[in-house]
Amino acid sequence: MGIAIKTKTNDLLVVKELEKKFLLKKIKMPWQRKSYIHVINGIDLSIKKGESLGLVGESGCGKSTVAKLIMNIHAPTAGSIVYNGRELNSLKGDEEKKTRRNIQYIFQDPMGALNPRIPVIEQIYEPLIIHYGRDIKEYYKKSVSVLESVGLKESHGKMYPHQLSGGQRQRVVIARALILDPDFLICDEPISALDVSIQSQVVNLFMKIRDERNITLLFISHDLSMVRHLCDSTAVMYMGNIVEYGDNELLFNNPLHPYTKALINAIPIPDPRIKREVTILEGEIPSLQNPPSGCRFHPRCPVAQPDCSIKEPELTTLFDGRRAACFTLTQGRFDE
Amino acid sequence: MQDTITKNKRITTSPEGYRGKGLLVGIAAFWLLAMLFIGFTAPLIAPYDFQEMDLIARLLPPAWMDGGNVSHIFGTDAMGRDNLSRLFYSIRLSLLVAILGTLICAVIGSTIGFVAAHFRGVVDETVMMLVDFQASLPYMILALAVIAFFENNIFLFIGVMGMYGWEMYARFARGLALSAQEQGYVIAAKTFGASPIRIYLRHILPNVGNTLLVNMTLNFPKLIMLETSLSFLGLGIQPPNTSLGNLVGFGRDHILTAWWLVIIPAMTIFLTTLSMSILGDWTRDKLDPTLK
Amino acid sequence: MNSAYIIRKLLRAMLTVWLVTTFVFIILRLSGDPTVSVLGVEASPEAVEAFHAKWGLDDSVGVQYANFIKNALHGDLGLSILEGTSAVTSVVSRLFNTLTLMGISTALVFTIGVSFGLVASLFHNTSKDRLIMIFAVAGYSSPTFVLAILLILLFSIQLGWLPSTGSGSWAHYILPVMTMTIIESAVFARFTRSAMLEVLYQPYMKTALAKGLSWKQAVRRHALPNAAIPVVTIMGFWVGLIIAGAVITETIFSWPGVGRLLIYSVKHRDYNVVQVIVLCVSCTMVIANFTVDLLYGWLDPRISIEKSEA
Repeated sequence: MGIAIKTKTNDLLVVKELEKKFLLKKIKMPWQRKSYIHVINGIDLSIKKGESLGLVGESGCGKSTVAKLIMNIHAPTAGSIVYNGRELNSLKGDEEKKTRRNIQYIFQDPMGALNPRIPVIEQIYEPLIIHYGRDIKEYYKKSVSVLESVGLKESHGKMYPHQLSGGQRQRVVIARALILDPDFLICDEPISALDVSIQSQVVNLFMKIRDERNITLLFISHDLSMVRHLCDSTAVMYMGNIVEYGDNELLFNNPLHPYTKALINAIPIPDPRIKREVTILEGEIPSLQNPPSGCRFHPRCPVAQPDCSIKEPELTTLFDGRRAACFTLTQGRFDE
Repeated sequence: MQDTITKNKRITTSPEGYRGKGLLVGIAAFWLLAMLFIGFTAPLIAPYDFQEMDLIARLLPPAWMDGGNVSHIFGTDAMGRDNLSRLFYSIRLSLLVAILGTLICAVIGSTIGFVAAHFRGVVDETVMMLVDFQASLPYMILALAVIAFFENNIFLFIGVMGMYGWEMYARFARGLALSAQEQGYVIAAKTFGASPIRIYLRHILPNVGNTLLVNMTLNFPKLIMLETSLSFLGLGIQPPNTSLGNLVGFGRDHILTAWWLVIIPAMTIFLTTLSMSILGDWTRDKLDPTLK
Repeated sequence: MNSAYIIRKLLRAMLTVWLVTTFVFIILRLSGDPTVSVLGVEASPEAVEAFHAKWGLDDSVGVQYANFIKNALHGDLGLSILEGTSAVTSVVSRLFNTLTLMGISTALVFTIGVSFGLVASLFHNTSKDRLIMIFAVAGYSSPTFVLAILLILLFSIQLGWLPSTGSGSWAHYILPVMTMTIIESAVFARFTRSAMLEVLYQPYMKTALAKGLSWKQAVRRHALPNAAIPVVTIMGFWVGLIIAGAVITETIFSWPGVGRLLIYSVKHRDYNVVQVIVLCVSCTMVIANFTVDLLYGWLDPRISIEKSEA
């Protein structure tokens, strides 16, 4: 039995104090010191049933790793991941299988996610074989209907991955994720590898799926405009920490954290008449091997205070319900 | 010479590039098929039993030479046994040993490689150490030590043959399995709960199969060479069984008077290994050009 | 390169030598009794017993091994059961023959094999290339003994030009050297050719030409050094085989070298000699590999940088 954590009954996924570190170099001699990089530095998330949460940040901030931890591709160094009231990593055997069936994962690279030698329809119903035994005829029918629901035809199913276009491949991957009727879908940069014209189609497909099946969604991306369009709330990550987290309405219309502000103000708007203040961030993301002291953003932060290099700010709830990790916000100073 | 890279001469799929090659490969394939056929049907097509002696008709030359006799097309050996029949049976045994050896080697080597890739850690380190150890030692020495000192047992011999080159398979299988583990579809299979065995059989092995096959075609001639060499030295297949190496070895005693006893089996060996090498190169070019 | 790299390789080398020696020791002891070979099948039980006692064959394998190690560390590697002299002497007395045979062959193989391989690669896909490759395939597909026998048939028996067995004059060298050279040059030619081809088609070669280098300069400065790395590796491997590589050749030509001694000792179970030969072979292989590793680290800057960061 998993540990039951007190959660609101409509929380599907709750992540608390999640940490992940990776060993930096292979240890050759026993007396060498181990050095780690902390990819995830203690984050909290919660997603309600039917909600869509966006997880954004630049490359290397750790957002993909969060997904992999939930999917048990890597094991967390610390913290808990609670799904439906149960601690995921403490489940075993059949229970684990049943629970994990409900959590599906969509990959970033649709070509890599498909076996080049197997026709796609077989790959779509493979999860059914794994979980339910062999009933190929039934599965075939079901696969075809899922294919159609993602906008493809039965004839596409008989093809090999390389015979399909990028957008079609991604639809196949989505179909495969949907075949087990999951409650929770994690999408790890599902549109980055696609042509721009296809991206919006796939995003609309996600919206359709979400609305039709009432699936809870964790949408990871570095494309803020898509996240704004698709999700209900968003968490912004920087170097392994969540810096701002809240409802999309609030976040996108009025970003508060300096990092979020810079990101959102950088989103191109197709109307040249609207003038905005664009903050150009200086410097580059520091290496994770030597993270800055205190707040990890402080070297690039336009409003950094002396305190910022000493202590790390906690994610605190602000007046409008969102959360942010910044001393300038929690100490009573609000800009704009 | 500069044309080599400025005119991209590497493209070997140009028509004239392949026409000549195609003929050679065709001949090689034909020879091998002929050998396989002989090996299969030896008991049926051999005119005599390979052990049948005729002490009156010893050391007869082949039928087209002086003193030859149509009843023994390739002549007879020192015990009056028919050379043609002995040749057929020897082909059969040599091929059998080589094929079995190649298969055993491929299976054992790959399994070891997969095991190392799956378990990582200490297991992996140990396996790699064994692989390095094996690769840095000429197999002949080990083989000699093992075979000649144990009772001459054909199963042991096939076993020793079967380990010739395992380290190559292990290395490839491990490398390919490791890179396969990084593939998206393997991770995907894991995320929807596939068991490791299912993953290996359904997703990793088929993609590894090509390289394995090429390896096998490259290994096969080496095995034939090893077996015939050892049999030639008297350390391999023992009488009454006969292999191509034995034939050359026995024939050597009569090389001055009955040179055909040596030439015919020697040329057979040479043509077989040559054909296999040609075929192996062609297979490699088709399936996996990244191997050298 | 840093010392950790060198130390690791050194340890690995010593471990290999020890492993090989032990492995062969166990196999030899577990598998047979030289008594019959030496004394003959009709030896009386007392003679057999005396023989066993003399050579310590009654002790368990473990005890024998302990004695072996003890003696070995004192430089005593046992006596040749067949010759009566020290096993080391048996081997060393034949070393010269093997080394000269292999030395000459190696020099020829390196020059002929590598140059043909180079030429083939530089004239890739022309008739020169195809011709060389046809010969190469024929060369390395031929088992040593087949080629040797054919050469004997042709040059000794048919033409009567060259002696087929024994040693003694320079003429005796010709056939054995020819056999080894033909086969191994083929191997080297093919290998050199593929190494060069790998390199010649790299984008940086085209860049070199575009920069204005002449073809010769481009090859000399960019292609050769990079292709040299894998070629040097198998050269090292081949040098490591300098004692053991001629086993079959020596046997066929009755060449009084270490290889032929090995076969003979194996057939007649002269343990100590086999042990000594195996020890020598593994030492030379290990030294050769070690040298190649060092050379590698020097030739390929990627390797030395990677290792020094460990």
